[in-house]
Amino acid sequence: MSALAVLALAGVASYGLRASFIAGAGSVTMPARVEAGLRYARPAVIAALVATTLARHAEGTPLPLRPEEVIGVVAAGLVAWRTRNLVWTMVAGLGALLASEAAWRLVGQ
Amino acid sequence: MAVAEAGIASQALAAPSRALPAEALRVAARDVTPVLIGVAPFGVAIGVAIAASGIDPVGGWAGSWLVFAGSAHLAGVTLLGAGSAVAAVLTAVVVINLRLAVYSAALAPSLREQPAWFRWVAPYFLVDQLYGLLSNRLAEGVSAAWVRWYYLGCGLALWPVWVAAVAVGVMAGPVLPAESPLGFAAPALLAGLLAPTLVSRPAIVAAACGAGMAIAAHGLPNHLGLLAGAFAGMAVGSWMEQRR
Repeated sequence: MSALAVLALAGVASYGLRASFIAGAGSVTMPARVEAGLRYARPAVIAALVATTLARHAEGTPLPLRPEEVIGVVAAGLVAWRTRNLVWTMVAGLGALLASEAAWRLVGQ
Repeated sequence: MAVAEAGIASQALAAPSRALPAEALRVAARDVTPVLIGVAPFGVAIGVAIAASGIDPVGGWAGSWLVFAGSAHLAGVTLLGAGSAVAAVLTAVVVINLRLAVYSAALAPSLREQPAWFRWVAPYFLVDQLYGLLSNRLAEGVSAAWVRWYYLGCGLALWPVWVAAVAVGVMAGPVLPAESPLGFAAPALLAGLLAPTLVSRPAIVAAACGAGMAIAAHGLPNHLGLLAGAFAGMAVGSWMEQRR
């Protein structure tokens, strides 16, 4: 299936979630327990996605994750937490990655 | 005098309905401008990630208006680029966007007075930022018509800026130097989205469990490790909240 088709399906599903209560049964409210569980969907999924991506990049290396990328991700996370600015987040993440890669090469030589 | 007073009174009564779209749209423009400045770099970065993922760039860009939700779009593109199964991509998008159903439930009572066309159109534009802006204004006790103009003003400002920003990123991606670590753009951006969600101990534990389980289960086929991590993190986070 093409990327366009998959993203179209993802779009339909996303619209369904958004419209579920507004366009549908407006008087129905979400059970408190479900709502409590969903509060942790975002941190759990995004953290799992970051970890999966880094684990994929580290395939073929002796470690489960590449230390330079872990440093880059931690730097990006810290800057995002402090500044809430995605431009600085990207600069910090990529900068820390490049700096740690350079340091790694120096140590290796 | 009485006639003059009646005239003034009728003008005063007529004024809100005449001024309504303009006033609501003016407030919407004022509220949404800083949000536009904030989301545009995110859109560009997602575009760069699309260019680096190796998927069809036009199809990847179309996700900006098909999905119209940054983190879910980025997750979908990242998984598509890694060759994940369609079911894994869709599940990841749905799980990330489950919070939109929470927003829908929260806004539904306030939008019950709206005409049917609006209740079908409005959900398309429902994103974190719009939910935040509207919630603040609803707390001020504004009229249904005011809410409608305000919502459409914010949504119709966000949409073109977002779609254009992703397009700029998709076009800029291939022009960037080949040795630039583009493959790292997506995880760096995701880490930036993750950090502000770590506001409580259960949220931090949910993220740690999600990441740990995803790494431990990385060898599973079809990126099931991602879903295992996601559900483990959600379960542990909500369990911790209930325990407190």
